[in-house]
Amino acid sequence: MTERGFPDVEVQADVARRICGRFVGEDISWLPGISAYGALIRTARLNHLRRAEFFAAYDLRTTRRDELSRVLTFSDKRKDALARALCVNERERDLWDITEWLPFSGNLDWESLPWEPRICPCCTRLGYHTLLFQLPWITRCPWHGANLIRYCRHCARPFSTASSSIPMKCRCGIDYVNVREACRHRQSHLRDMARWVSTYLAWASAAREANYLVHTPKPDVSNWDALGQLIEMPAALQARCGHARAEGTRLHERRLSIYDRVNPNINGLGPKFLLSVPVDIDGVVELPAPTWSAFRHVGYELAEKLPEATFSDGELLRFFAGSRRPALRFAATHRTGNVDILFLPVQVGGERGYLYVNAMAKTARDVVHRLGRYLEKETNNFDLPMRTGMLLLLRAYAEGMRVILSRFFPDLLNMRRDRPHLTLPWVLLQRQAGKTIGVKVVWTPRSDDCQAVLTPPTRNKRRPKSQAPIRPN
Amino acid sequence: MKTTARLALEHPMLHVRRPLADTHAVERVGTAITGYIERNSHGMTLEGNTQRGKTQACVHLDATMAWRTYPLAFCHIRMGEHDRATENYFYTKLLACANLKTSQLSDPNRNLSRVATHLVSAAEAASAEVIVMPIDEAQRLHAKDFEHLHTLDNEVEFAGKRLFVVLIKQIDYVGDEPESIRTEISRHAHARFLEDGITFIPVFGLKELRRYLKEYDEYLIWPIESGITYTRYFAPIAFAEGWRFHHHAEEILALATELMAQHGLNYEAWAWPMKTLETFVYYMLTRVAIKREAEFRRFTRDDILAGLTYCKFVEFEQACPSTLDPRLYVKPQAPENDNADEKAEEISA
Repeated sequence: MTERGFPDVEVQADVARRICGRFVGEDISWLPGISAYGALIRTARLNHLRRAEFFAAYDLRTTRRDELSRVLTFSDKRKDALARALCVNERERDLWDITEWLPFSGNLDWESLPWEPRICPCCTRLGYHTLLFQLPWITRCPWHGANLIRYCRHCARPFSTASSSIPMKCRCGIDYVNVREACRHRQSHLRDMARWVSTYLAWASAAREANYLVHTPKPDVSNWDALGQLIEMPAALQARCGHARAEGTRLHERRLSIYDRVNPNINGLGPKFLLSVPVDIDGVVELPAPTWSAFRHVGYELAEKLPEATFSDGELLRFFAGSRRPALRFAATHRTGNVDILFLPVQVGGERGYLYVNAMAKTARDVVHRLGRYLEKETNNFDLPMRTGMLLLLRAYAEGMRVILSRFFPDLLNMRRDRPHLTLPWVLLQRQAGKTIGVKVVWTPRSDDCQAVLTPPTRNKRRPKSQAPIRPN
Repeated sequence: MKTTARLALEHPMLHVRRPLADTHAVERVGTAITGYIERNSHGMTLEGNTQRGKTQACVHLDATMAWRTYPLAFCHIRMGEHDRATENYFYTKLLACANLKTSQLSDPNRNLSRVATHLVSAAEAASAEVIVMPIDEAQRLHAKDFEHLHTLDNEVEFAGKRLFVVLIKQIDYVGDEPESIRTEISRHAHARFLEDGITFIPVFGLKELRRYLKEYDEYLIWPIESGITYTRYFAPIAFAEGWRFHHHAEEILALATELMAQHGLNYEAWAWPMKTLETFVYYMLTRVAIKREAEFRRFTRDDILAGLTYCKFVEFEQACPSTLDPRLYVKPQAPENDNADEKAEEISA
């Protein structure tokens, strides 16, 4: 007893353990890195519990539509309830937090990634699941070498608890858990497992200090591949659990380093430039003079690829303003300039230049803005993030311009390289001693692409199609 | 100071639950269990009078390893009185005894699977092939309960393990038994679980009493690995001068039988129940020896009489159902290996 006569915490926990019922296989301390979902699968299967009994057994309140693996990864309240029911210690409870497994900081919005329980069939047979399997850069089980799967191998249904009342038992009858084997404590790979998990966690912890992720929260299926490609593990770890790289199609990526040749124009940009790009509203952004040429260059490149007699005189003058290229070699079409096209290039008035940001996708502007916020914290060496911001802006501008122009010039849709398509950028900034030393950017194609932009909304009948606002959002 | 830390600093004899010492009786139970397992038996009965230490013997065997010839897992069950021997009650009772969660939505089949999984899991945790399941108050089992036990046995066997049931029966159990208990147990269940068995005789005769007291003199040590035995801890000066608790064995037994004779109790075929014997030892060490400190040299006749009074030796013997109805009394007989200790001493000498 303590001085005031209250029982100690340890004694209380012991009493609670004795009073509350226990579960068969509730001791998960010997299973390194097991997730909350794994603990649930294991105890539910060993105790022959069904989903309807989870509330009575674990005090786990969920709706029928809830995906348990997702709920048990992101809901602290539910994780706490499960930890209390299984008398899990603090260290094990900490590992139920997915941020412990991430090799980067920055607020990754998991809503933007597709989520389904992902399993190693061999581990699941023993009632084991770890958050490692839910990470995009892990494609194989590090201990069994088996490919991680999301769907039943027999009927291709997802391993979602919503589809079955018994965890990891598919409705088609295939049972992925072997209760008898799950009882066994003598697993030959346990020591290797513990070693690998601790190595991974040590690397992730160190990498979290060094890496910072910037991404758009727009949900998209392809984000999974982008994140998988963005993260590179040490060779020793990667050799065991594979990489998205091995799966075939590679996304477009770009690496920037402090050792690259620095564009002198970038040095003229102030640190607040990226923050000045509007995100939620369409409007204009004032471009510093050193950046005009870069944005104009995007216009030249595209205009040159278009067939003759596409632009009107006024449009050609706007596109090739300030260029040494002979714009007038193109034959102009005889029509009045379109307002949407005329406002695409950089607008110069006096000594100031402006750009209408409706030419850039909102998601890309969002990423640039986030990068700007990161830059606020950066006390020195903001050159590399600034270069990254410019890279993102230029690409977003080029993509947006293609989308808008394709509305007026359908020939663009037939061009293999320049047909309109939108991408989502994912940026990983590498820091060392408080300084950004490298950046890796991966662009992932938006699965909805620009079809939504190209096809005007059918419901809105009040405004004629020709006047519909064109905005690659 | 935290409760756990304080308890760790106190001598185990001062705790409410005091440690158990090895006795011949415990050894006999251990030998019987390993022997019957060796002979492919699935169960045995452990019969005896009340408060003799049958259950504690099983608990002690669970806690010690030296007697085991195979790795064994233990799962203790305490049966309650029940009127209807349903399958669901039986398995739910087993789950409750194992402190496992029970669910109202569960059906008997799932409960059976849960119990079997629990047993297999316990066996795996102990790296054992055999699960010993002592069922306390087994006299309360109905004939139908043996069928459920049979089903469980099959289930465990299918999972690659073996169940060995120790049915701890209190012979002098007096109560209103439900009719189904008195019905005859089926032959196959009888052959499986009730064919083998032993009678539990706690501490019988001088040799066994001397050996029991010797445990406190030589084997029970605290603090761990300090080499200080319990007797030495509570009477250090007398111990240093060569005094030992077991030297009093003859005197204690003589006084106990004398008391029994005085109160008209049968003392000829009598074994000392663990309940009173352990309390007697506790009193002698913690209330007599340590209180006198430097003055203590040996126990006097008055001390022993005070100890016997403290443990309510006579009252307990008088209140025993076996005393009231001699037909219920298990007459202790000299065990087969009665002279084993003597021979061992001779050899060592």
